[in-house]
Amino acid sequence: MTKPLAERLPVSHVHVWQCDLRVPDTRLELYRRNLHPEERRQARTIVSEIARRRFIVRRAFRHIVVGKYLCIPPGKAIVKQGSEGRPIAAGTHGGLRLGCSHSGELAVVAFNRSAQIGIDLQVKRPMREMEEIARYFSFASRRHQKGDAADADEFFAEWTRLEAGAKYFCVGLSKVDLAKVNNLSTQTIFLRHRGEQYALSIACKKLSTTAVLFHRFAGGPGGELNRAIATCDTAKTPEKSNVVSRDER
Amino acid sequence: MVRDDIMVAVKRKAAQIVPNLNPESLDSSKSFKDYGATSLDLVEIVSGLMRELRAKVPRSELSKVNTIGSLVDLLHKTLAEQQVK
Repeated sequence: MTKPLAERLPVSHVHVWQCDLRVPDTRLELYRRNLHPEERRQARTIVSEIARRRFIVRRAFRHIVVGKYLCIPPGKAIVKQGSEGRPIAAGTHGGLRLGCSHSGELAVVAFNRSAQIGIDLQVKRPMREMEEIARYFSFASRRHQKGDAADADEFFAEWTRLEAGAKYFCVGLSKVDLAKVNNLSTQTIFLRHRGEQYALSIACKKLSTTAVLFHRFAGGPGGELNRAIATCDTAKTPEKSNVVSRDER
Repeated sequence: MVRDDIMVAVKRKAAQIVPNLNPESLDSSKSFKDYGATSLDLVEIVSGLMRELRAKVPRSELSKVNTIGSLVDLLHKTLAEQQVK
């Protein structure tokens, strides 16, 4: 019998799965049928067709990968909001921690066995309000204040770090404390997908993880999962804003 | 500034930032996320409107923005309070 992926996940590792949200209509329909009734209801309230399609795919993707980690069928994998608002895989009694994020054409789900994690993904795009937002959230660097256009990478790294920290602490952006986020161990990478660049940050308790492994979800209702695309060794990198390029097409 | 003018400004700003958004179809009872906006889009909309309308919305007030209408209300209230001061 296949061992659940959760049991093969070393306690000091974070697994990150990424999924392309663009799928053909036939697969979308299969995914939609696999959603729980409440999720189907939620999908119907989304006005934008693109946003609705992406919602369906990322929820189905989450069910499939959670199912693989727990060795249960995707339809039985239930991810609930915990008392603090964190996503919790039902039936794991807190043993498997997960974090989710999406932006543009990509969604990610991260897993860890030992400690809480926060993850955020953001597609890079031209920003009209970069300096103002950096100041508003108090992460303005000297370059932000000068309006250096080449500083976009730093902005997106800081933004995703802030959001990952907010998710780690389970607070909204209005309440996230940058000083507390700075005390976490955070990893940021940039990855490329369909010609777009994305910033991805993971926040966890200091020294609780030693490696982050990235995998690509190959899709399909059965979910072909085991495809590692990159690794990030946290022991060999600075604790904050470790930015590495990863061209992933 | 009257509420309707703020709503016009919100729709215009949202259309500049959120891809494929038709400002005329916006329903104020819906959230920006229902139109495909991300949290960064929302923050950029708020930031742009604060600059345009000269409104200073404290960060702590952002948690009140659940729908498009609630953003209009927040800006309206902020501007009214600034006028009193």
